[in-house]
Amino acid sequence: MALVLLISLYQPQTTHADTGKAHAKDLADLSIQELMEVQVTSVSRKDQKLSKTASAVYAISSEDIRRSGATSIPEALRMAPGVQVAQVNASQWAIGIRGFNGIFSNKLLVMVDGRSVYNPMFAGVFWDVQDMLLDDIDHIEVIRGPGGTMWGSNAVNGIVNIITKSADQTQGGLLTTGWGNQEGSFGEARFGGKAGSSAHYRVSSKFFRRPGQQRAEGGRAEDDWDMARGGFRVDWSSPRRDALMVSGDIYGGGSNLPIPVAVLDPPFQRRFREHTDLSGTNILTRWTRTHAGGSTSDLRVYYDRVQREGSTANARFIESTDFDYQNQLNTSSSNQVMWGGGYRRNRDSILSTPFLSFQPPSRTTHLYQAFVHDEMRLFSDQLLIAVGTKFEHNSFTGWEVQPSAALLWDRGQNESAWLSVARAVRIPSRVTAEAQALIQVFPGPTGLNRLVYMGNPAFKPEELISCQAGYRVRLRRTVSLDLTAFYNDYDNLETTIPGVPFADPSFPAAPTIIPLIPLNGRTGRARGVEAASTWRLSGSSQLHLSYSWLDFKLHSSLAGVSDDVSATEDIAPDHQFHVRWYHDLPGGLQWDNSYYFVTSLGSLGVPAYHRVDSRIGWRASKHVRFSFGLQNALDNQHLEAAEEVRVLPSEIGRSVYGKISYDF
Amino acid sequence: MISSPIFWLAPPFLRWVAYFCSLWTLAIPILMAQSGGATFTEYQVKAVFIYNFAKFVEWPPRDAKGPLKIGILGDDPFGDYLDEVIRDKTIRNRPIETRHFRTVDNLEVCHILFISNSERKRTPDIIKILAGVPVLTIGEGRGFAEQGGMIGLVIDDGKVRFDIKAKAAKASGITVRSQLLDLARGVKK
Repeated sequence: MALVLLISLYQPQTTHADTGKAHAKDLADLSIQELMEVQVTSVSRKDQKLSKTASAVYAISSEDIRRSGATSIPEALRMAPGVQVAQVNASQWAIGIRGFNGIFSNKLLVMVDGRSVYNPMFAGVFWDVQDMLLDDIDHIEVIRGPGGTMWGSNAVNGIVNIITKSADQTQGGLLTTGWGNQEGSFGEARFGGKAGSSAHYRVSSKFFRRPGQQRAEGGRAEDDWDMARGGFRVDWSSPRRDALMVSGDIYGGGSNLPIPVAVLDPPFQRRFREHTDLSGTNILTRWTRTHAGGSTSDLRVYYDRVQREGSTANARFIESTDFDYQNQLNTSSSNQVMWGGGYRRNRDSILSTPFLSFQPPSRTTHLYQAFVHDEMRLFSDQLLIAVGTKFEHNSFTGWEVQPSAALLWDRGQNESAWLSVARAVRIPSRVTAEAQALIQVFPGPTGLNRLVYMGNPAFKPEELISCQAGYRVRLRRTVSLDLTAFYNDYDNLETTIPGVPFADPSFPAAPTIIPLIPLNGRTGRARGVEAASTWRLSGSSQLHLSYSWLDFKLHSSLAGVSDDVSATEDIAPDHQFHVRWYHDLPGGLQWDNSYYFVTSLGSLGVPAYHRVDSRIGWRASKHVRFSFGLQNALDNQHLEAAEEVRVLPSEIGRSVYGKISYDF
Repeated sequence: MISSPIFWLAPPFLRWVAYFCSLWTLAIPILMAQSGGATFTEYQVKAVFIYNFAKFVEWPPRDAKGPLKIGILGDDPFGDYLDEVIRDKTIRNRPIETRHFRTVDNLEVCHILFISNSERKRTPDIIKILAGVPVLTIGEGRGFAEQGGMIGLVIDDGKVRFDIKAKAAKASGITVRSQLLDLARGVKK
């Protein structure tokens, strides 16, 4: 489908390229004063850097975020090809890369400026607290495929790197406020300044109160939530060699979520409105030194604390302390070695409830790692060979090795092709190894039975060996195309199987426990194709297209057990298609539109949906900007995600919002 | 259409509608031309800036003959843009040519050196190598002039601006005319 569109759009392109050339000639006759009034768009720089990597990378720029009208980081991720984003309810998203997406996508690693926000206790990302002023984001790098060699365990299917702007890029003040039917009321404030001659700083704060999404039968789903946060960043650089960055965040809020909980009376399940107090804080420092000859050393230290206190699930705190050192050596003009190592300590404490407890309730785990990576350029820089491996030790399964090798054929700015093969693992979390969670209560011959998820300390890592190939080309400088194909071979994948029932005399109301045990019981493969293309139709109009195809085939490797793999196979849509069109109009107006088509989730009962988002931005004066967003324009409400344990999806409603920004 | 006699014979209402429509048909190409011409890519504009800087800068009379050389160190973000701008142009009767560099060897042959973002990490070293050599160094980002570069191109609110470090230029024997200094966003003494 994407190809047909590409061909049909190719024809008008010729005329635009010609006019572009004519304009460039006129531009050359302008004076500096006139040039200083010319509005520019920057698309080329990041494209170029990315065209030199032997991996499937897509960068979502700050302009993309602004022009998509996205109001949260998860919503912005919809723009990247190969990423499955489904909004589950007002505060939860199921996000995955190349499948395995759920509330907890345990094979997707997410980082903010190098700080991992993958929760080591629950094996996944709490998207409800991954937030900031979207205008503080420089870009979001979305890497499809394994990154275990560089980023370590759990970077199995992909990595999301959120990179914030340096403080010198956010100088001056910014005030934003607005209202929307789904967005509720929101406000943002930022101030950036200079301290001394070589340091810049900014402080940002933000709040919102979102009224919640829709029930399938109509009316609000009672999943309202609110959050307030503040953050800062300081960048200091010495004139020659050192750069120091310190950043931190603190946030607090609460969410309400209707969840299904097991009860002792028929029908043994009740819709319960869970309130969770959310809070957290983190601080990160990064010190980079550039040596003569271009080699660099990088030291990063951070502390991160998350608190999620709900009535049925209560994590009093989950904290990580991390030290990381990296050295990049230019051993010759054609060879570059990177090596490094690090240590992370994870500590948590859970308050046991009848629904979720851990044994032991509080634990400290350790992770230490080292890696080496070499990049060689041969045949006058045209061929790049990269090999590397990570050695990592964790408290659950001991040593893990994650090697990779890649080949890049670099034909300058306009064309490159690459191949790669890599191994990556997802290591067990506290949930997989040590949790007990009440899933269901149902009557049996000897009274009530309890179905209880019971962590398995013998759970081994899930493994992936992935092969990928990619091709990028730029045609007549206005059109670029990026194609990737992959084949993923999985082993030791998790499945949960009912074990032998046993009696629990301590709880006479429901004396029999049927354990549900996580086992390394599946193997399988996934294959797919992703295509992304950018068209600069004219100086004022840009088109982005993407298409992803994903095909899963899983098998049970356990003898004598029936294990239905279809829910995992179907959790990600087979086809996703996306078009985004940015248009600059005279008078400081911008008109931007996005269209998404996502196919159905097969056996999971989530139908295919079309989604249209539209935004109008208007710079009314030097200081004042207005924007109006309309999202999900096509229907009143639709379902995007499937039901999960302890998760009741809401339908996602049409959203209309307006906001005003004042910068000074 | 307006000049045709049928137009003036039509009833006033129809005449008004036809007039309105023809105004729009006229306006559309104008609007299209405006919106098409108003925005350029960053490096199209930066290429023209570099050419313009050359007009406002004087080099010591070491080699007053031969072409004026613009060097690009590292990844070339301009593609054909810079070559298109300088084609058939002269500055003080000297033709202009571009050269590409991957290493820091032989940079002194340039009159202007554009240091690409790919070389950001070793910019201080490059500046040091060129200390006292009459090469106008142009780089990108707010940090460039602070690192000792002469002209730093920055994007401010979607428009190209520049910082000038006048002291660095003077130290290497380059004279920057005051017209250019007046237009700079920041002038560092």
